[in-house]
Amino acid sequence: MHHVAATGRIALVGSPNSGKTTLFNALTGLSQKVANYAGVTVEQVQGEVEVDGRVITLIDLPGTYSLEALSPDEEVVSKVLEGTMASCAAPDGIVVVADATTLERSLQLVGDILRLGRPTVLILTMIDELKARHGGLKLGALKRSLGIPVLGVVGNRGVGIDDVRALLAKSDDWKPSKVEIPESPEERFAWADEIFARCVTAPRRDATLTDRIDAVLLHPVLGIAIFAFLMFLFFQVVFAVAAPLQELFESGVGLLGAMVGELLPEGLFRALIVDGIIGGVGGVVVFVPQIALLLLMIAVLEGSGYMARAAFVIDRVMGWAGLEGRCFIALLSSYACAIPGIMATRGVPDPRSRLATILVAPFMTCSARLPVYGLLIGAFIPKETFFGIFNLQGVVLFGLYLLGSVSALLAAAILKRGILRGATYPFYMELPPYRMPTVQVIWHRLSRGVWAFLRKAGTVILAASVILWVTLNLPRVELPSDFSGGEVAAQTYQLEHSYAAAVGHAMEPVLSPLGFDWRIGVGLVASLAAREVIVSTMAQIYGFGGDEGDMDGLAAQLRKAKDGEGNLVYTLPTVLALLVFFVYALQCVSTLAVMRRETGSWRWPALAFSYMLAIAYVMAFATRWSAIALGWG
Amino acid sequence: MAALTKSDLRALDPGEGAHVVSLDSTAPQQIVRRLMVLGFVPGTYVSVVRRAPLGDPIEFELRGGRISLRASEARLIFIS
Repeated sequence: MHHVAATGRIALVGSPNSGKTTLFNALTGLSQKVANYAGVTVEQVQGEVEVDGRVITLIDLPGTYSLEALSPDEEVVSKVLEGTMASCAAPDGIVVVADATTLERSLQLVGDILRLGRPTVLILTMIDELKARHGGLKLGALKRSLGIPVLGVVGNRGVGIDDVRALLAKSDDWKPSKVEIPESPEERFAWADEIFARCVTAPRRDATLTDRIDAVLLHPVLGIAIFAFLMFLFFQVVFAVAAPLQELFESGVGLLGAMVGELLPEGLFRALIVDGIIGGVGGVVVFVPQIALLLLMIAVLEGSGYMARAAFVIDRVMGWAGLEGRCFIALLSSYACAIPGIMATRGVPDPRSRLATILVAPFMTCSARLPVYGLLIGAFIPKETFFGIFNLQGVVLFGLYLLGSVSALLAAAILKRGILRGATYPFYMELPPYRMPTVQVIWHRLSRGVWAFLRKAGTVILAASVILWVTLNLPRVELPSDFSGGEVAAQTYQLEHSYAAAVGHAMEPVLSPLGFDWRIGVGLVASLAAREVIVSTMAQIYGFGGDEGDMDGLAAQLRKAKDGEGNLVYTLPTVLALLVFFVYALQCVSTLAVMRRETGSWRWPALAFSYMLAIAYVMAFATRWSAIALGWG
Repeated sequence: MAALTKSDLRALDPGEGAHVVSLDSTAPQQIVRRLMVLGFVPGTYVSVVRRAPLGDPIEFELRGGRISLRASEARLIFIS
């Protein structure tokens, strides 16, 4: 039991890679709150630290080089420090964090902040590194030159953290600096150079471990080979390693359905629970292992420092698309799910590049498309091998991935030359030193991503599954008195008179040019909620209680499905058209919602939805008729 | 004589360095300001650490730190 005497709010500010977040974590431990600043999608990270019975709220501001804001991130930093941010009152004091080994440059930002005239202290990180490289620091002289307290720490080892806590305890006594600081960058660098020369012995630039690793990983030839290999490994892990885990989840879902089925009396209610809810939601939850693995690898690549190198290597390619290297990280995340991908665009400083990335991210083949591709490819693409190594099914799957990725870059290129033209944001990035990623940071990212996915399964997909089940099973119709078929035929009769069938039939004029019948129409409408719902729809329509484990049975049903005139529905041209439709269409309510949140308006999700639907229709049409012209069906 | 022609940071090969003379005053003001904030002010010694495997961006070392720019930004910074 302790009494909390007073509270204070202190902002942490520093350039990217200054060690600011490491210091923040060392001070606040796990008591962090992440929210958004009002009106912008910049994360507001706060944590609490208790010193001498006082609780101090630390605000970890985004990394910035200057208070002269160009990007939304930087704007938040200047606004919070000036006290003009609507949702965040001006802090009582400012802690500037700077890397002691690159002080020559960061003194510029220190000067920027001192000019605000707020109570400020300076904390220098990487003091051990400075000493190891034979650099030195006259703390007393630096304090006098800047007119504020200065402390040295080694954030990742906790050295000096107690001194920082003691300094925070006295935050009421902090004072603004009285030192005169010039306004223009040129004069300010002269000012900084003078202080630097007086107070700091520059560290030697011996080849560090990071330099030696970079000599290999960024080598003109090896660098590209290693990048390609890592990307290959990335997909191998996602598909090869995740598959057995996924099967485990599938049998779990099947078991749960069977158990619940035992407990409930037979009837509509049991069908709703087992087929509608467990089948529908379970079919999506089985993708958790894959998404978790993907997020894990992205977290490791980012935490180790390689992701920045990947952005550096691929920047030129992204540049052709009007984007930049950091957009690549967002697009890579979108292979798991467009939602973490769109969230990852927060690391892109240029608002136009960021928006373009958000608008094309859904073209990247997310894991929700996998069950759809898996079902259709498994059912209709022959298991042929050619040239000894290429498996036709695998080639088609790879082709769909490639089509999505190339389309995303093309769409970005068009957007950046069209409605998002006129970039006036300079490109610059830093390659941080390599580090061992910490378990805490990896866990944080992993759990947040998986949780977001599960929340989608528990809300959107749950609702879609229930609505779908209801519309497929109601209204209940009486069988005609002369009805002679068995149970399956009775179910089919019920289905053909359901609300969903009415919707599907109404859509037929639009869909028939693509070769789609009313059942596919129902599936497409249902999959507007989430793409994978089409699989459970097909399962429900073709009489397989939504049991995803029984995919072979469903595939066989699809192969012999006939339309009213007795012709096969799923000819090769129609199947290819359906696959291509799924490459392009934005059938995902959650993605639209996240787009709305990240762009602050419904305009962009509406644009994305309509342009992607239009492309999906045109491309599916072109695919079907090309295939017919080639004599494939 | 290279010093007579106006050249920019793109002209440097990895390992080479030069002093910044001026920045392109015809470029958008905010880009020039930001490059200066990053340390590219006249008089600063800048050297090239490496080029990306595909040739762009270029990693520079200046003022004890490193930063990567694209050729499209590097061409705004004139050297002696």
